[in-house]
Amino acid sequence: MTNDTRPDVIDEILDVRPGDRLDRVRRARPVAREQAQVAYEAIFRPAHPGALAVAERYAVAWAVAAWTGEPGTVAHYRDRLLEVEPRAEVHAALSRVIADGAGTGPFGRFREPGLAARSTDGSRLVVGAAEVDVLGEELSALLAHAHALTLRPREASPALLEALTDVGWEATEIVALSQLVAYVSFQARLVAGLRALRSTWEVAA
Amino acid sequence: MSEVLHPETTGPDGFTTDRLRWHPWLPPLPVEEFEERHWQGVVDPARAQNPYFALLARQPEILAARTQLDWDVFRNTEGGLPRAEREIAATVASVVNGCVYCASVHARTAIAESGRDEDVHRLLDDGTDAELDERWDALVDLVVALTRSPVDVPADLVSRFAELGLDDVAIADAIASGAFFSWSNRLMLSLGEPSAPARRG
Repeated sequence: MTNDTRPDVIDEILDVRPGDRLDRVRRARPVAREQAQVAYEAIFRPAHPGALAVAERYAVAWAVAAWTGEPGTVAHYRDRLLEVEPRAEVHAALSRVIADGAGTGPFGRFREPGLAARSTDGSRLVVGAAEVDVLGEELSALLAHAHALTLRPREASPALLEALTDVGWEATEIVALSQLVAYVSFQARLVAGLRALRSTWEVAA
Repeated sequence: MSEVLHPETTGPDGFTTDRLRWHPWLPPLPVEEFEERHWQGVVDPARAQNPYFALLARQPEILAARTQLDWDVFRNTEGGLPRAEREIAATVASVVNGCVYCASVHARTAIAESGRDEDVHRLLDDGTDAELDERWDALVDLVVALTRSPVDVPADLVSRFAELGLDDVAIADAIASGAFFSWSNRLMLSLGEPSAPARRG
């Protein structure tokens, strides 16, 4: 059953033990299980990081996990960030940005005219000047974009991308950012769903 | 500096099963700049001609992992949830997030796999409150809960599947299919826009 020793972040977050019922369920889709981890490593331990530093990646992931609301995933990325960026003022500034961005989603205006009646509104994040001073313009732009993509993905637009290119981000990093936000959105939900599945067994037992 | 593209397109009016096109807001990686890692990233070389995959090929290691994960979640038919229902999960997430392009692709596949043209169109036209049948309603409710932020999946949404006779792997397939489209929708929505086929008068 445990014929590989590769660490698996989703198992760690869920405290899956080798051979337990959730382990057996995950291993029924072995490629999906393995590639979720390979994708994680490609995003957070990139062979070609480019301009997007690992600390910036963990900072954005922490915020996305927090806005998605899966506590185990939040703790994972906050702890990874601490390992590479221990400065208390950075953590405090990020905590304030995360608190400012709390809200419900997905909301937003549809670009399709026929869906106007299904458009909804919600809170949009503006990173405060005090936080920009600590985090810098580049990371602040990443966080604002990540917030939009987490809670109002259907409002994405060329103008939203220009807020990133205006502070110097290139297409290659923007693709990495989109993948990072989208991956954490998936990962947190997979964890939440599997947690709920396991809870039904505990009730039944 | 990267230039943001502003495609001049006419988008679809709403959710549809029409074949849409997708136009990137950032330049795809030109084929002449592909190195070995980019070819590995697109997995199938024909996808280097597709603007969506050629743009994602700028991060080839992530694209390759994502592609293989996708195929195992949606195409591994060793037990588990029927393919049609995995496609319904993808469609539901796309409707909730508002990804008209993704919804068009997966609604078409859901129809092809299930034959339930009318039910799938009701999901697109009436949204996730549409009543379909006991099993599809359970699937819709689960994926709606999974797609919202903050994510909150009450145990009773999951235990409904067990009561309908689905096993652990089938329930996990429903969870994975729904969750995966919170990934897909955010890529498709954040990097480009759909256009509708021209209508003949």
